[in-house]
Amino acid sequence: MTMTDESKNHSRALTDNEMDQLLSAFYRLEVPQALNGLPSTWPELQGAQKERQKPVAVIVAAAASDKPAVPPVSRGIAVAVATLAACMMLMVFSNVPSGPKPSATVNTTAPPVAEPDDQLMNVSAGGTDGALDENQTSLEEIDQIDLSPADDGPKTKPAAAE
Amino acid sequence: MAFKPHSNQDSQQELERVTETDYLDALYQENSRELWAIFYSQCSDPERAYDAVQECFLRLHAYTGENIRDPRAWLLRVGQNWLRDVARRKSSSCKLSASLDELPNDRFDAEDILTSDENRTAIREALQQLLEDDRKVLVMKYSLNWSSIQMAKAMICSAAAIDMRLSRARRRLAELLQEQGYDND
Repeated sequence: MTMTDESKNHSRALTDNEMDQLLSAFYRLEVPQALNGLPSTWPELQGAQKERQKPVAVIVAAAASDKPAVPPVSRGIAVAVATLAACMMLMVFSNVPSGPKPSATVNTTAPPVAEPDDQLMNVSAGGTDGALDENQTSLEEIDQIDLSPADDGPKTKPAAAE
Repeated sequence: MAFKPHSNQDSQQELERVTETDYLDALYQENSRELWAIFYSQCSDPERAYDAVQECFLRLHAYTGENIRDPRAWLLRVGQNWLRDVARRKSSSCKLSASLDELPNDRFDAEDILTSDENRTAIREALQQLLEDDRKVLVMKYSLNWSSIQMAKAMICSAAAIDMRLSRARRRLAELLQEQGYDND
């Protein structure tokens, strides 16, 4: 079989029927076999699916229980809420004012209210028998001050209310 | 030792994975042949056309955007864009390097002719010289076995126009193949 210029002139074109046959066979053979493979068989997708898979441990329930399992997330939230509530209660109780007994904290804003059973603070360094001033005034003398004097004697302040 | 019951979350993920694969397989079975044919009409390379099909399905699998209303149109667009990018990167020339060895006058056997890789390459290269629409009608007719009405719907024209285009494409291809030259001694 040779190709010459003269032979080209005598070559005939394929008929419609021949072209039909040629093209049918051609396109049938052109389709690659790989086109028949579904995506689920492709290595690229199988690799991606394996990466997404989490390692699942085989676990079995020990005993049948009617109660549904509590998801770990909900359990965590419940524990956190309970802890928070306990902390808040602790803070509230710690701030409540003290009862009959004096509290350990020192309140510097208001003077402590003296109760009848409390031991009174000594006014003078010498105690109840000691002098209060240079005139050797004692508490005992102050205690006997007449609160409603008749004359114009020196007025003294009444003793502090009990 | 305490045992925990099987997590519902793992089962759900497994179900989603299986469902997604099934959906992809179903979509592939429905559209792959047609997509391949269209991509082939664009590039005249069966392997590259298959690569385009695979590429668009892989991208669909990896897609995480909004819901796709028309998956077929989406796949077609992605595949065509990919083909264009590939064509730009490897600018392949359409030289008619091969020629048909033999076209016997007395008995025409298409299968015989096509056993030769060179002959198939020659036909591919001749197809590349046709207009893209001509290639499309040829591939729809001979690869997908579509009727004129189906092709008319795809090409948005009348069935008569499809028949005319088909006839013209076949004739032009025959001329190109004839120009390859053959001689029967």
